[in-house]
Amino acid sequence: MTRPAATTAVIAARAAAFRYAGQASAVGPFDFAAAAGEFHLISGPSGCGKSTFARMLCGLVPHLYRGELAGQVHIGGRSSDTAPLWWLTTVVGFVAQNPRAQLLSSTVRDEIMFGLENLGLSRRAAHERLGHTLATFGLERFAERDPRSLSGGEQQRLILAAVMARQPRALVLDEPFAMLDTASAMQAVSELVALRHQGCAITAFEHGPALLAGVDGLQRLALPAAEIPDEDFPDLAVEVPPFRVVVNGLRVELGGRPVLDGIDCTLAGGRVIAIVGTNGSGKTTLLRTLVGLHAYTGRVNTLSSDGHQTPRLGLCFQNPDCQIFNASVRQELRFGLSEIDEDFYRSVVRLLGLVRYEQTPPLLLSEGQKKRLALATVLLRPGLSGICLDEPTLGQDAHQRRFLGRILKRLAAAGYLCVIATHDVEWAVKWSDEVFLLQAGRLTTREHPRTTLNCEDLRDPAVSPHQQLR
Amino acid sequence: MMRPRAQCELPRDSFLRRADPRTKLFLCAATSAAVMLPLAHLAAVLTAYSLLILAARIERQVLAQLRRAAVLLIVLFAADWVWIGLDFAVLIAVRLILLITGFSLFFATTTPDELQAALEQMRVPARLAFAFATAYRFLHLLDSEWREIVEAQQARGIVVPALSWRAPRQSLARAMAIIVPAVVLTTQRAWSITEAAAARGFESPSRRSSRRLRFSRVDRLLLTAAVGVAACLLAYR
Amino acid sequence: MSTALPPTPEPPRRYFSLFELLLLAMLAALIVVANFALRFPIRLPGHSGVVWMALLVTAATIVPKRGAAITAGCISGVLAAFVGIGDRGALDTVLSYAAAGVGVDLSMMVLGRGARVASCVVAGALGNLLKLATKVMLEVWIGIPTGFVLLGRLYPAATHTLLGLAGGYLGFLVVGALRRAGFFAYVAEKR
Repeated sequence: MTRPAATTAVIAARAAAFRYAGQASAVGPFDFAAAAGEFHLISGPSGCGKSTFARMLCGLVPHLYRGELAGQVHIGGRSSDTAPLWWLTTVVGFVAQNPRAQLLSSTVRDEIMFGLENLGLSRRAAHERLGHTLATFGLERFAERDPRSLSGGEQQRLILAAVMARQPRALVLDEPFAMLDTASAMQAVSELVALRHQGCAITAFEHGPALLAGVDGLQRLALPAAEIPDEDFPDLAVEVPPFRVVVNGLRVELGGRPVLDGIDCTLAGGRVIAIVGTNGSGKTTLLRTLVGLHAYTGRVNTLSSDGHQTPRLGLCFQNPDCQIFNASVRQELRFGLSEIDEDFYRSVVRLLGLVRYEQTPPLLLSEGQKKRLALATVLLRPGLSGICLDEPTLGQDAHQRRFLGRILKRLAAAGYLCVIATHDVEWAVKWSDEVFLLQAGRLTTREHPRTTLNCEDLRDPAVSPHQQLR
Repeated sequence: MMRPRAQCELPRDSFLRRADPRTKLFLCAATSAAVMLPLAHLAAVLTAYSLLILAARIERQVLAQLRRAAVLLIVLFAADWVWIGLDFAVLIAVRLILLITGFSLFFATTTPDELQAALEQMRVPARLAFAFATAYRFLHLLDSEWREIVEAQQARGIVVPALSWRAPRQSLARAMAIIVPAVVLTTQRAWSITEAAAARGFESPSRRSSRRLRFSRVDRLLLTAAVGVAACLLAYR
Repeated sequence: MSTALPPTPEPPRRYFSLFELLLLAMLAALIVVANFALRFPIRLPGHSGVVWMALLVTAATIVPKRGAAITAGCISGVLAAFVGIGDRGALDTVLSYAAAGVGVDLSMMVLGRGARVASCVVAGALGNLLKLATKVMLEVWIGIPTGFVLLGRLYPAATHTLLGLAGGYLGFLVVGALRRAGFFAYVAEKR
């Protein structure tokens, strides 16, 4: 495959590296070029520098980040470190991972207009482009809506529209599908393919090629990863007595609107249970109800075999930064615990791969490490028999997802009930003992993962026939 | 926990709602500046302002505000009456009422988006207007995040917000368990917004705001009425 | 090889970067949220200053530039007025919290910024006291006799000072916790 010459490339990087202020080592060096109409996928595991590389290709590095840029990055023919950032963004658009975090305005219309205002267009030209963009991206009926009321997929489409309204020649996307369910992600892929056919150079950074594998003429670049040592998976120094959580006719209303309705199921300790469904199907609400954070009608009974203690469930929130505030991992784990079973503590720390990070400030951990830290802090609570995890695989690479799966299997082996809400069907099929399918607040399927999942229900062409096992 | 007034309840539609925010800001500033007038003039200003409050359909909010200051008003009135005289007591009470309610008209009938547009047209730097409007838009989200932090810490057995003077150390530790993650999340959010805004060319020198406020008949009527009241007050001295 | 492109004007150098400005604004919003969320059991005069000063001191340390606390104070005052905080009306709210910001900035100008307990504690006390002073000045401005205004103000002045000290101290603890948790290293990478 011939690479476009730097003269024809919209974005060109040669031996480009960036060392953040205060860091000893640099991210890179990278070589890359993207010409009009090309579709690039740059993949790599967590920590290999994808996000930094993405930001180098659109000029956010070095303009918004302190550090030293080595090598050359040319955007639209200009060097990225000397051209002003506002000019670079007229050539390259950038879409980050979390669409919700990129919303800037009170209405969909204003969200798109935000970028157009910065182009210095006349009012008439800006409104014409606004109308054209709303129509192109199917957002006309949402024009006056608050962007926060849209679904994740719709928000990502809006961000894409807001960026593309400026008609950049290239588009860089940093893990654009991480927060989306499969159906929304496939929709986003088709929108990107359409933009590519209009001549835009698309560069997407992802953990792996799964969602983009079918794109015609896709050019791939795999970033090297550091050697990842195999983690230790000891048995936990605890055994949870058998128990069950029996749910009958569960109904939850939030803001006067039914979110869950008629949920009947039994969750047994010692099992890994995945709840899958599209964004907005009620997965998080179900988890929160199981741990007692929402009022409900119906019955949720927890029955233990020994009859002495009522088993309790803990919840690991989606964003681990909600909990972190101590000076080290060790202090974070031990905070608020009046008595600590040292054997249990050591076994949890080893199981979750946190031994070498005990003295590390928690905010300096990677996202995957923070998620495991959050899980550990909940596990160490006394009297816990089960754990609920909300989207634990979000934004995680294959290694981290596999690691998590093995941790959960170990927890289940010790008798814990592990309930996971996820839109990652592939992971759920591989690592869980049961899969519940939640659609619009109703439990529609409860399957052993090694039987056919109803692909139509999830609109998930990514679950290919070879995953159906009998 | 909190219900930001202008987010959960849009300002009620009214004659004043359609006025330009700059007009309302001027009227409120003029009302507040008028507190130094003598009693007779003050009564006229108070009457005119009350009519505006009624036209804006925000009388319940204004009365609620006055109720919160009721103790202060009553104590001051009584003390002034006893020690100085009734005229003075009434004067001070009216001045205090105008001071307390003087900007209610503006804040109760203007959305932050409108304030952002008004600030930009008054040549306030766009980045400052944007920062303010962004902060307001995210009030509700920050409130949700705060609640999530409380729930997440409670999931670890940290009881909040049970603050107590009897256990100051534990209270401080519990407050820190919420405030520190809240500052971290807020900072991350501010950074995401910075990147998103910069990636869409926010600091471009050729930026042109799409929001254009124009004075309408309502504004001309209000400003004319304000000038009329001022002229009458000046004439009747 | 670059093609010849017309020169583009550089944006002017700003005192606060966009990130710093947005951060101050968002922390100001957090101040308003925390005002509702963290309730103290004894409602002494100036009790809201504990959290307000803690977060103002934190903001002024995270963005270690003169004017940071004034900016955050002003924005928090306007936001507070929008959501209806304050029992003496919007003007009093805006001016009080702007004054608190002035107090924090002034104090840090003299005693220095950074995670120093004396600096944070005095900043908190001065900020909370200036809040009270603003209310006093407004009362004097509308004609209430100065002696009458000052009568009985010794007690609120004392509670405002003590609670401001407590708020400054809480801010010092928050800044220390953030530093130890690696937060400042995260912020230091950003412009």
